[in-house]
Amino acid sequence: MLGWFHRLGSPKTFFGMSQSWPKTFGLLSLLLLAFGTVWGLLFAPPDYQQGHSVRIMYVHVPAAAVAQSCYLIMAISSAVFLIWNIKLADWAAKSMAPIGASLAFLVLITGAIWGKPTWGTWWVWDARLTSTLVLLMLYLGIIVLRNALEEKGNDGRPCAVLALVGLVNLPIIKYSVDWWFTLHQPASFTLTEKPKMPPEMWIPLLIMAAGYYFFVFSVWTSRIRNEIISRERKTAWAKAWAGSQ
Amino acid sequence: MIFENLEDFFWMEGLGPFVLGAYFVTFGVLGINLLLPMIREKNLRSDVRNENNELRSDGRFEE
Amino acid sequence: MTFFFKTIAREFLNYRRKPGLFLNPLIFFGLVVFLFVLGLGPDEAKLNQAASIFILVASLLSVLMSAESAYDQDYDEGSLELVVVSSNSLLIYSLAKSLAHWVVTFLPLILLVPFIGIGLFLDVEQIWVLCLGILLVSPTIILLASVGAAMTISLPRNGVLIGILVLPFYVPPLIFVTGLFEAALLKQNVFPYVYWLIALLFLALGLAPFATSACLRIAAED
Repeated sequence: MLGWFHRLGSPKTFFGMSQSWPKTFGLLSLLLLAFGTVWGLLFAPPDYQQGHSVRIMYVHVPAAAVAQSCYLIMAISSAVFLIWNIKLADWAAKSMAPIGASLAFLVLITGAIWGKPTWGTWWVWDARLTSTLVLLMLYLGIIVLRNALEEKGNDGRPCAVLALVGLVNLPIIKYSVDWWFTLHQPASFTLTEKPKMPPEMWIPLLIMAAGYYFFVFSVWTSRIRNEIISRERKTAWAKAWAGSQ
Repeated sequence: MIFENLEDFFWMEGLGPFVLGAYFVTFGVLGINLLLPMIREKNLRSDVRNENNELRSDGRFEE
Repeated sequence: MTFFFKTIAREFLNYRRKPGLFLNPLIFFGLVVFLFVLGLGPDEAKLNQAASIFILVASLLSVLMSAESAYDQDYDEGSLELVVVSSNSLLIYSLAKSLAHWVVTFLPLILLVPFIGIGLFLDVEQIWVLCLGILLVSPTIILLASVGAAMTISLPRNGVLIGILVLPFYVPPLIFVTGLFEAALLKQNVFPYVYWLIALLFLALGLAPFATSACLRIAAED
């Protein structure tokens, strides 16, 4: 088991192992996303209070869950890099950051679009929205730091430290924003309660969530492979890969 | 099918632009995420191949 | 232990030789508060409400300026590598630097606050609460800024970058300090917020020096 883990750390081995992953998981995810979208848009029932705008839930909620999972995966990769000095883990963390950032951005945009007909406003400073905004800021900070460090040619370990510091701070920030909102909650505004969802609603939600996860895995693997080739371009096997096709 | 005809689907009791707009943005973002690595892979392939060919044809060790 | 005090002494000597290192952020702080006041207008009621927040945010921003110069110099001179290579602990080094940084940044600030408060029409109670809030939150701010400075130490002109990295982590202390100010304003019990700020302080004290020294070691080993 440990041997497999160790071999996984070699860029060349990982590259060979992961050859089919992007396409396979990509196709699988597109299938799931298509199926979930069609169900959510055409067959799922409209909400009692919100009407058809609840269909946005099928793209908004899974994106939120996956954006947070991406941060956790990025932090774990960073920890692996710092503890065991496996370069591939650093490249994995680097590859995950833009994906997570774009998903957090997507959560905010779809949330705003959902909010306008439902609450009458594009944005409201509630706890969840503000927490997601902070998550986006953390992602952007990591990306900015990585760009600055790579320009100078330094290695990415401060980025890994930043990812871990962010992980530790994430619960604290969430709690404080939660508390801030309950203190400052405007009297006229209440979030609608989420009632128990019938299966016609949570099954497409799960399908979309699975689709998102597979999608992220496919794109993440694809990015890691690009990173490997870019950094190992002088090796014989990389040259063979480029020349053979 | 919840909607009776195509017009109903696009209108969605006034919410059509919002719902469809949200899905459009979603697939746009996911599409960009999908395309960017594919483009980079293609560029990398040709870059590495060109570097490789340069070296071989020059015979020099400058690079 | 002597290394701790020697580092602090060295920092003070540095600040005495280059007073700009701590005077410039202080002047920056004053100017930012001034800009806020100009933006809001001379209306006493409006200034009263927002004054504490302005002072707090201005102090957060000025810390970013001074954090940059606190660490960069050692890296550029090469004395950081000396510390890493010697048997002295980087933890003590970063703690000592943070303490000196705090003394030089926030002590003058806390002394200035009553005078600024008078200018912003704060009454005596509000000024006391403001001083208490700044006192409680400042060590956390300094420790977080030192983490940011250590991460970007090898990069040129990293002041704004430190801000981008560290400002999300300023959110919890900021929320609790403004809660403190509001509670004092409404004559409610301030102690929950005091306890929260002290908790955050100990959390930062326990974790930030490790992150700082890890990043310093990384920078010195390159």
